[in-house]
Amino acid sequence: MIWRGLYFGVLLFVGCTQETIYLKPDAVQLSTPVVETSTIYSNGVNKLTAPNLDPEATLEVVHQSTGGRLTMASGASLDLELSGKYQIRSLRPPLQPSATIELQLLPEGQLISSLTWETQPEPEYFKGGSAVLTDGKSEGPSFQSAGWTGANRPFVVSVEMAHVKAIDSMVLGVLADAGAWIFPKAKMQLTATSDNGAPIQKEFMLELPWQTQGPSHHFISVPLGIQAQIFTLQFEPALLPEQHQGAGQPAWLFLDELIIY
Amino acid sequence: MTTRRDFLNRSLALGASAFAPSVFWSCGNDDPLIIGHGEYRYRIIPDWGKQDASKFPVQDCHEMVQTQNGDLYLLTNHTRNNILVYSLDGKIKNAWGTVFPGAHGLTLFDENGSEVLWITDYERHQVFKMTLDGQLLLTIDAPQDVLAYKDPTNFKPTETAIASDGSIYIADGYGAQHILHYDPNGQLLNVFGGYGTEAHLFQNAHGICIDDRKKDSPTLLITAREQQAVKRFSLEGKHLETISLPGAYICRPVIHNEQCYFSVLKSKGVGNADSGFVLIMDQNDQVVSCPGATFDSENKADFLYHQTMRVFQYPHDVCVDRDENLYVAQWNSGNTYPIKLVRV
Repeated sequence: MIWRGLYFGVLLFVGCTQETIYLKPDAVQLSTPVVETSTIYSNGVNKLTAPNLDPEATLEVVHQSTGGRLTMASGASLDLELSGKYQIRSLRPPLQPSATIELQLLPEGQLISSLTWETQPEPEYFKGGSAVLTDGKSEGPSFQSAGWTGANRPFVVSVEMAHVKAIDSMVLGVLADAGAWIFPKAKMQLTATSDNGAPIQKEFMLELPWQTQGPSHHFISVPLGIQAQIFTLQFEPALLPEQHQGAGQPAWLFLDELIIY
Repeated sequence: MTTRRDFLNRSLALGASAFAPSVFWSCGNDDPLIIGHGEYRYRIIPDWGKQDASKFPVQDCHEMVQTQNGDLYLLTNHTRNNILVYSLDGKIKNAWGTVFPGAHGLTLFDENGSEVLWITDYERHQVFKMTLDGQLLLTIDAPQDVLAYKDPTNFKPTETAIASDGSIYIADGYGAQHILHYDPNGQLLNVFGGYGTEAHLFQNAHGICIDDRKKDSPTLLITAREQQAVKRFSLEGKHLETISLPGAYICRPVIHNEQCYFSVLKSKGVGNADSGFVLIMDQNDQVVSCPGATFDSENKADFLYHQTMRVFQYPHDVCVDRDENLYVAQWNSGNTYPIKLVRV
């Protein structure tokens, strides 16, 4: 009896000490979802979808300022009506939630009658033409997508508004992708003629904090404070910062939207 | 037919049933994560290959093979020990190799009962035939008679495949995208492929293997990683078919029994860049399992293979052992060691 007990004890000891450490579900994070919206505006007809969401996962969408929380099953869509930032992640317990991504919806801007890219564009990065800057769509993080247009030398964009109105500010959709030498920092010079024929010239510095993480989409807001129907914007991309391997070389500035308020 | 794996599973089940109540009860019963689909499901041992990095450091873990005696050879581009020899329990038995800074491709070949390793080095622009203990047997340099390699630095070989007659196929996956066919002594016989989007050309001819599942008509399987496809060629270099795997940046094909296994470096359709997984095709080139990723059970036309959970970062090779467990070596994944997947 004692020997049998000892034998069993040894078995128990060996079984426990040699236990294989398998990965548990709660140690694994879901992949980061990619979401699409029909427009960047909170105009009441904005649908959010997550085309590649894991069939067993749920998408959680939280409106940052109100705390309102929506959830969406894989394959479904959500209507987003509020402006501002949304925090989005996928859930599938007991797996860890995915990393949180941020989506920003903007109020609709003033009506732009025409927008023209005046400088000779880089054909490879002008597949969608200047129209992409007013299509109301936010592009994904790939600079090769036709929705982005960019340059690493000065370029000029002219804008004609539908009406002469006070222009308070402008929002630019920009891309940050350090690995691709894309850095949203540039000098911007605005030139316009006021109602009374007086020239208007203003200079601005566009800049987001330097970041080395993967490609990401951002909005930069610029206070313009003018009254004009036609104006031009000259962009001069900055040089890559000293912490970049291409330090001192011109950075690329990529835009996907230009909104006037 | 009873396979070794079936036999082991049955033996294990029988043994476990005798002692299960006490052993399993006393050890707790947290369910491990199981990944994969259909018959190809796996538990994960993330620390299987983990070592003391001060003794056996790795940089990128590029490829792995299993020798006849069961040992697993890992190729890394860390020049302290380009080769780490693992026993099946994850312990290091041997380490060698200090001269392969661009170590990338590792192929095992049984040469009349004697196993040899083929190592490609894209930084040295050379391919090496080695014994299992690290003795150099043959070096293949850039074929400078070929126009694309007049400058030998254009030769950046990523993988080899050895035919049953001992002739050697080299995929120049980081170079001019040619496939170079040599006789067993290293004399160039044929060149095909090259960079391009046509069916017989490649964008990143990254991996190559001999598909001898049809014994009387072996072919070459060559991955076109950037095109998310694997292309089948005759041994003479004629393009036969392209198997498209949208979204899956497949590294090299690994034939084991009737299946073809791929590590997928990364995938489209997810927000994190380190989005790799493993993909398994059957003998009819149908995908049967994607551990760590989506699986197209409905054969949708617009299906995109993509990672669903972050088990892997950037898998670069998958090695299949005799019990059909997998060992996944990863590139650019924080100097991590291979992960073991135990088939269930």
